[in-house]
Amino acid sequence: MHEDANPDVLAGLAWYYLLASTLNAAAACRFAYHEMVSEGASREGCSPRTRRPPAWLAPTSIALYALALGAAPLRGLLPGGLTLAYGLVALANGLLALAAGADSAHFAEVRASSGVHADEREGRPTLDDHIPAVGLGGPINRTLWSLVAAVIAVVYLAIGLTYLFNGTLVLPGFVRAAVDSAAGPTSFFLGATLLLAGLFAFRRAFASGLVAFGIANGAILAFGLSLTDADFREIVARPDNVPIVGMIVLVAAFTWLALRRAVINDARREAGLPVLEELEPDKVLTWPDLVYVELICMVALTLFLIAWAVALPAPLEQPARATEAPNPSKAPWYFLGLQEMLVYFDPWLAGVALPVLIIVGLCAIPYLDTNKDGAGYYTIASRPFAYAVFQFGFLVLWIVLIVLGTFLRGPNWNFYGPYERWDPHKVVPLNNVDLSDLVWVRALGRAKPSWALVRELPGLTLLALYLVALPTLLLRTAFKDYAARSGRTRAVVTVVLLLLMAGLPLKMILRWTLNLKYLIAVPGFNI
Amino acid sequence: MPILERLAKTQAWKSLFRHPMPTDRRSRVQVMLSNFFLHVHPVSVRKQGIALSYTWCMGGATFFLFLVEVVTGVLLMFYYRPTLEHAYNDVLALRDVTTLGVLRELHRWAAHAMVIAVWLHMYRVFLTGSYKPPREFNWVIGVMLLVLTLLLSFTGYLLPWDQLAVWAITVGSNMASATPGLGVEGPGSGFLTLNGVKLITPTSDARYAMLGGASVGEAALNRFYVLHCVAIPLAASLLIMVHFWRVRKDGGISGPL
Ligand code: HEM
Repeated sequence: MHEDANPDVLAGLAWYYLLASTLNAAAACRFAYHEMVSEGASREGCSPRTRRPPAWLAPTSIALYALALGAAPLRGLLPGGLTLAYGLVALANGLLALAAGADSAHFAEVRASSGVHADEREGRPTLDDHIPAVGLGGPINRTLWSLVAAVIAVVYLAIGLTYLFNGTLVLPGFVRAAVDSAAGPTSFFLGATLLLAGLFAFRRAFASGLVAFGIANGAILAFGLSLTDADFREIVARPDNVPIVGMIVLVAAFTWLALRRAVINDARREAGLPVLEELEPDKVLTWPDLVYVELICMVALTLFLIAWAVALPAPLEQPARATEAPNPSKAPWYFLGLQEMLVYFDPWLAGVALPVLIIVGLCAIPYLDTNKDGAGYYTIASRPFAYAVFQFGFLVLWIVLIVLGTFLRGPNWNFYGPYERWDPHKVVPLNNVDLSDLVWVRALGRAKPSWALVRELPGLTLLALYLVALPTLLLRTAFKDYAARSGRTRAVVTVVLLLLMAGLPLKMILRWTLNLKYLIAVPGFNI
Repeated sequence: MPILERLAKTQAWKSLFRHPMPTDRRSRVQVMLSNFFLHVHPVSVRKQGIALSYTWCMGGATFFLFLVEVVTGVLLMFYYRPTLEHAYNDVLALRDVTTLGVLRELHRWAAHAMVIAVWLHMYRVFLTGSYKPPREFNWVIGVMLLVLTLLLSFTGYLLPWDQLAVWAITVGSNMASATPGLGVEGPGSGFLTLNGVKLITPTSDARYAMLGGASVGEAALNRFYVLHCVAIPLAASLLIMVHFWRVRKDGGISGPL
């Protein structure tokens, strides 16, 4: 059998796609049957034309799920217990998806043949349309989208059943080769940056639930297919790396949720409406409203942790040996962004100065951001600069670099594509040069001066320009208003901190383009 | 619920809870005022402030995970001895010998989850602009809590004393020897001299102070154990108390207006 697909993997993938189809079947039902009124739209004046699910649907599917839950623990007694459970869930999913899709289609037909509904003649909104929150485009076509979700659910079911019956559907070799050859620290970092910039620029489009639905399905499929690759699986499924996969999902979900609320709020404010956070100004009693939510969250988290602990044993490697360093030797995962910076900076910068600057910079944020607007609700329009800088710092410079350091850095801290074997003998030529080499030897064609101060003059000049002249310039131009409003001290600190932060990607770019090793190279003090 | 009601009238109940069953408005207010654990909360809260789509419940999740760590950590301390002789084998035995051997799993996964939750909490606080006046200083306390959370996780990483642990801490602690002025490999380490004798040497620099030795050994294990089980949890508990107190004093969970 293909090394990429042993029986355990096939079974795991079958369940993975079953889960994916469940999500889409639920989405199909939601589009078809749910009362869709988006945030802030009042239900008053909407005639409730939500379709009711057929009476048999809910009991049947719940019964099927329950039977499946019952069959799973019996797998010891019943040889095909798990397969049976799988089949029952698959049946329930299929029923839900097909019923929702068929109902939507049928309803659309009825509606078309019976002519326009009275409410629509009067121009009144009805609950049958997803009334978009202000700023999020036109109403969606519920029929179309429940059909789309239903079809996706059925396709995932088919893939899952294929794996269940030992079909080996794997990611084609040429796709892996293409991804691996395109992947590199440069493309990864720049790609993430561009993605964030695109998210920011086209945020109105991304804020739509349907776009997110599409992206989520794309990600589910891409991840599922990647899991058929043995090398990808080996890295992703390491017990300590599993939480990082979870973190990526959570960070993406919350980034999107915040973006959506910010887009809605910005549109509402533009239209002179209160923001979402102002819609329910009432106070409620802490008992029961908050205390119960907390209790439910605690129980849910406890169950989640116990399930995780039972399913995934904590790693324990060989006893420590002082002489045998593993390759790669990695810091704990939450510091891998800093370790990645060691590629570009010496330890005193990446390992000491940078963390100190991050902590100081974070503490300084409330004292530097003097914009009174945008406190207590999600918004981008009122604070685009702060929002963008923080997201760049948190998402790209922290999370993305951790992902890079965890999944894509292998032996000798070399870069490995997602589907590439971690070969410890991979040789990556290192031909980095110092700025002094570039200037004196390459550009001027002469030997480097022996006196360090003269030799490092180009680097020192650049640094002085970057940390003295550029701030002075910025304070007179882009940050002029800010300096006038918030005072000179704040402005100077802000500009210097921002430039230091920007120094990270800048040095990375210099490395990629000029193979620059050090700007200034004095023994023990390299920048 | 006649049984519960009857129970609520007994002397034992009254002595325990100091309030009747929280069934009507008055008793629900009373609960919040008279219960030690609940009185971190105000009596009533703005509805939007506790909406999951607003707070993501991440501060609360962080706190709960911290509590999970305290409980499972204390249980782990019953089994674990921080010496080179025992550390690895004690950890090894946890899964096989201990009843319901998922203690270590619970502790490790909850630790990872706490790091993730605290980042997401900070992310949410930033995106809602909740660090703006009057909450500036609570953000600073939060940053300190973030650092403490990472240090808790870092010091705990060493304790299993396997290859992963020791070398990860070696990579991390090597950074200390690059501290400008105070680490042997850092810039300016040659400046600190006394009568011509260098003060910063491999056995007297910042890494040495952190590890209690020139490399990760028994002294480091002991230091990390004490920091992990006593010093940092105490500091974090104190700061969490201040953090919660400040949330209340700064006007509750943020909102517009
Ligand atoms: C051990 C770590 C931490 C714990 C247990 C914790 C817990 C909490 C809790 C329970 C709240 C109430 C609101 C909510 O749940 O979102 C809160 C609010 C807050 N936290 Fe934290 N937090 C921690 C770390 C941080 C960090 C790292 C920051 C920022 C750098 C931070 C800044 C704040 C601020 C400014 C508030 C007030 C937010 C508002 O009013 O909306 N906290 N914290």
